[in-house]
Amino acid sequence: MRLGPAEVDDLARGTALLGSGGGGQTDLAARVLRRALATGRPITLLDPGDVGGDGYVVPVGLVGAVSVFYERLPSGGEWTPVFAAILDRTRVAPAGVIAIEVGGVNGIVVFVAAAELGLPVIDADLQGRALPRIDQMSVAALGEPITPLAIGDASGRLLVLDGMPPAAAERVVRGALSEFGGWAAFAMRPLRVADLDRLTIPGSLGRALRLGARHAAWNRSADPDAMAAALGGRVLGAGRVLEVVRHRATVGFGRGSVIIRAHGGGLLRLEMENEYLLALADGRPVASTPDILCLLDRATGIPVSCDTVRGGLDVVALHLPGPSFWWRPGVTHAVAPRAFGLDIDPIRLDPAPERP
Amino acid sequence: MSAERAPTLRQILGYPPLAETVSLTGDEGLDRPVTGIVLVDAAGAGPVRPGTIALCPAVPAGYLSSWRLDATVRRLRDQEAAAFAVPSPAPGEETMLDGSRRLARHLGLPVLAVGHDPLRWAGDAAAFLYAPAVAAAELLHRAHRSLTGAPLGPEEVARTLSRTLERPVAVFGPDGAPITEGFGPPPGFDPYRPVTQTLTEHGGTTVVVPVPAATGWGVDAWIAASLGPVPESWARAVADVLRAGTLALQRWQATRRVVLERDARLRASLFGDLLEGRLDPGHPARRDASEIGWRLDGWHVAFHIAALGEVDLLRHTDAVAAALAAERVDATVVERGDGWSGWTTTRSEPGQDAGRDLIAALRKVRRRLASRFDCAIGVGRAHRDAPGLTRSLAEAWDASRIARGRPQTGRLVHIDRLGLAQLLTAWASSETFAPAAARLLEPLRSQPGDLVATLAAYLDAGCSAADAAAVLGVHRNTVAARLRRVEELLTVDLNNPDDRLALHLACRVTADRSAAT
Repeated sequence: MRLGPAEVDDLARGTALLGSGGGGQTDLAARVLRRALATGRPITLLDPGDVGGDGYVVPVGLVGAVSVFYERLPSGGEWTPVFAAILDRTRVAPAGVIAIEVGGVNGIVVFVAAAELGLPVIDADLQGRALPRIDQMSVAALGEPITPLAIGDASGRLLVLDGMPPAAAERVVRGALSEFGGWAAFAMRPLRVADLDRLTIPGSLGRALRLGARHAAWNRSADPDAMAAALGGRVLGAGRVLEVVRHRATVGFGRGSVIIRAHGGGLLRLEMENEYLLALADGRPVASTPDILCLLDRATGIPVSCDTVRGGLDVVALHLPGPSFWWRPGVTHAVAPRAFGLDIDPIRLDPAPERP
Repeated sequence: MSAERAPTLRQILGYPPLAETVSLTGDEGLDRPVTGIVLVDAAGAGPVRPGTIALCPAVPAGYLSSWRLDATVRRLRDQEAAAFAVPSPAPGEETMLDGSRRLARHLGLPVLAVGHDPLRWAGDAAAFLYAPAVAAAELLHRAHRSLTGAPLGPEEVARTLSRTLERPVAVFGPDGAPITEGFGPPPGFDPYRPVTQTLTEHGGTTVVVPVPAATGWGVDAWIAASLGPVPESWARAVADVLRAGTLALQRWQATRRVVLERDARLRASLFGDLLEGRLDPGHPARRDASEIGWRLDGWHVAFHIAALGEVDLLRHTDAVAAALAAERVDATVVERGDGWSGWTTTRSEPGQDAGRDLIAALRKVRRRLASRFDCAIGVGRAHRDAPGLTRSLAEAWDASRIARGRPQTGRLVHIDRLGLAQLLTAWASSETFAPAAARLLEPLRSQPGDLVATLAAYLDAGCSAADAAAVLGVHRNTVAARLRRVEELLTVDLNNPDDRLALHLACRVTADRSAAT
């Protein structure tokens, strides 16, 4: 399918929902994508089945602080150097690119990169939502290498890593990002199209587009429960944000808590890092990562990110099923609450069939 | 003890050894009964029986503001715990989030901060919950130890008990008036019921126990402890502790009485010397007098406070001295017969103002003592030095006799205001003499001839029959004949001065009476 302006709107909404409160706000990224569309270059989204199984795809995206992304937008030409570095090292002829992360900015940036590289986007990603670290990509969770990988920018700065385990690569990349001005373009080891079912979350961009299209119906008079059902999830609670507490961390990402006084009188508490990770209703854990937790502005339905949530907002807390990939035996631990220091077993929402 | 109602959380927080405890979630939910205490970990895991306080003795850093506290509160609520107890956060450390407090209130599970030694808290709370009798015995033991040293006065007994109970303790007088600092009797306290009274108002309990009088009936004082919210068993334990205090007070009173009696004997013997005018300069007893603080030089005004009815004087000597001191009467006081004699001494002769002031002060003293006993007060005139004091004391004694029969003067009589004749008449017309006078002259009334008037005129005329005849307008011989009949009828001898005095007074009183009617 060929991406048009209407799809960009849906994509912006859908990737924001799948961001689970993180992944960066998608509206600016959507503008960058519209600018790319305006140049007239076609951007297409292909199903993995439409591509020959022997072909390769390269996961691309950006890594770093999304807050800096707002200050320094891509100027064009960011992905060519990292892409070239990977091809140079692996000697494959790619059939297209896939997203490293569907949630948030990366779900959109993959199309910007595809436009720059002149390749189609294959509908798959490595996280199925937003997650903060590169060692939390599906490939890494399965124990497969993520290197060679490259980060770089339009001015020619380039870092290529190879032969490194994911956790070490995460540490090196995290440490190097400040030298790239906060964020960098990212490309990594090409994956065989035939392996996408096993190694990635296929169809996640399509899910983002569908979620976005359904979410467009949200307005002031919408019934949250009906909206949640249409999105394939459920409402955890609706009410006013009573308190937002942020704890600065000396290592890793800062933690925080959002406490919502539900209209029914109960209290809903969300624990967050870069994403909303755990929900407790009246002290009882009711939802957790790898499922997706969203806070939406009650009136507009616009997702409220962990960075921008503040006391006094009238919100609806939404629980969407996470990618089934993360519930496979042996990989859940990589994204379960304990991976974020929350000492509790993950809680799964039985995925309701999305409404047609 | 098994039938005892379980104490409430509020009462546990009111138990002095647990006083550091504060509720982090406000005042709600504190009135539920508590049946036990159990230790849990920070996740609240493990079985918790309904009604128990779950105490987590150590929590990780940041726990109070974390979601785990919320989850634990929820789990404990689902197990019907009475409360969740955690160590108090250090100053500056993170405490509960507003949202968590709200959650705990919403779920109805109070969160208690129990200070910085949670295991000790647990021990104290467990002793209080499971073995209140042991905790009470321990308290009684401590009270006993602190009360059985040197004899302690009311102030010291109150202070000692207050330290033991860690609650305010006060001593009240027999009528319930506070005699130590602290607090007054609670509403509903009845000073005429000499039994232990446990009074609860606004959830706060006050226990008041009587100090039985040495005479075996009545109450000398009360000891009260203001406890705040406490369970019944604790109020009973406190009553036992206060009773230990009553023993200490009785001991102190007995000791004091021995001292007073010894003093009283010395004073009585010196007083005897004084009344008989033996305390001249140079007399050996004079040295004893100055040693016990008697001032014999200068101008003295004596007074006598006569107690009416059966009164144990020594029991009240302190109260009399206190009442005088309260009215700023700087006097030496001695027990004497039916009451207390005292005198004030000045360097120069006191003026009229000083006399008036003393009388006004003594009137107030009498009112102050009214709750203990009724009394009559006589005041003598100002006289100089030891012989003068003897005289003033005698006058005060006489005046107090008169004051007894004269409620119309407020049972307070000052010799100065009387004049000797008035004094005599006043005495003669007293309740005891007037009927006797009437009876004495009764035989004359039924006889012909105005024998009473004749006798009165004769005596008024200085025993001159001629002058009396002139006053009465009869013949001199008639007067003489009537007087002979009087002597026969009354079997008196008009040549005897004693008989004459009695008859003269009787005539005057009956004349006054018939004039009044």
